[in-house]
Amino acid sequence: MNYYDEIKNELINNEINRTVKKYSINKSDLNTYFNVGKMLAEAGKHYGENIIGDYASRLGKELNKKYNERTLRRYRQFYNFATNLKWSAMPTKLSWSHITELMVLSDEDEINYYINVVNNRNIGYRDLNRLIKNNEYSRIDENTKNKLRKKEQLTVKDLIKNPILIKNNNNYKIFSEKVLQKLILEDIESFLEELGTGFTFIKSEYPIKLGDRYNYIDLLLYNIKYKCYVVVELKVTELKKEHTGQIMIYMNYIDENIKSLEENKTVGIIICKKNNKFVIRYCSDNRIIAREYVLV
Amino acid sequence: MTYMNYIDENIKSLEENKTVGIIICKRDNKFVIRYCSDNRIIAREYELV
Repeated sequence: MNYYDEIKNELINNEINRTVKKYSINKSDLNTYFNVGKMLAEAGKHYGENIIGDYASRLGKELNKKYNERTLRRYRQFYNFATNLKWSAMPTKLSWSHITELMVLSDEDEINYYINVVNNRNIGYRDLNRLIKNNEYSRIDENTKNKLRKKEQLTVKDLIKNPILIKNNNNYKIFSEKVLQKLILEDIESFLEELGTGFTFIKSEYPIKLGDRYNYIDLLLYNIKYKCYVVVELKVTELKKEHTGQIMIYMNYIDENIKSLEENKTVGIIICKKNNKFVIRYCSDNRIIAREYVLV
Repeated sequence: MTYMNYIDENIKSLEENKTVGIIICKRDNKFVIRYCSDNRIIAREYELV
């Protein structure tokens, strides 16, 4: 008998069972809270609002103190919440903690967005709370929101937030591009998430040679979902017409010298203190976008 | 590029062709032109005589 394999299989089966159990416990919880909420809503209609407090004190004595008035009201809120909305994604993957975070929202598209984020990125309820506090949905482009609503395919630029939030924990006072770059690198993961999904970091101050002169790309990234390089230029001023020409040169250099044939065309993001819609409007290169940054 | 596109959008009429741009400079830089994907733009050096 191969003892090691048997041991390993036993342990694997147990882990699978535990995951399945967790999922069905969660599903049972949500079903229960929905039904309880429904009955609380109807009881409230028949006997008035105070009935919830009554039930809470009785349940507290007969069952468990955790079924207090606040919790019961939450169940009823959940029932109203669930029946008023048509959810695009099955919410049973979400835990009760996630759902309590979502119940403060009323826009159905916004709720669906966060449900997808939780499902795709497997984030916990504390992170979800942080995203909602940072108004992540409201920082998404309007066109992207339409695409999400119609469940269309997204492009690499679609989920780049505006404005991009950059943490300034050390409270730097004198501000230059070097400082902005340093802040981004200090928490590169948050920055990459602000851009969307699939962005990875290659190098900062990436050197390219134009003739006998060196130029340096502020940040060179690669998006593994959309398979393209991403050139990021940082500006601490308003977006100027010179910026689009400059980033185009960098992007085309990458396309010609670094990019391989199967990869898609390089995309450019100019992160600036203040956007200028005319510069973007008269930029005929649609691989280039501009976004503002805000220090938090 | 910004200036050329402004002209195309606000001044140019539909029958006219796209605006062209000439950068006249003291010294050319073939790499800047090579990596410029906008073929309406050319660069030329000048000389004082």
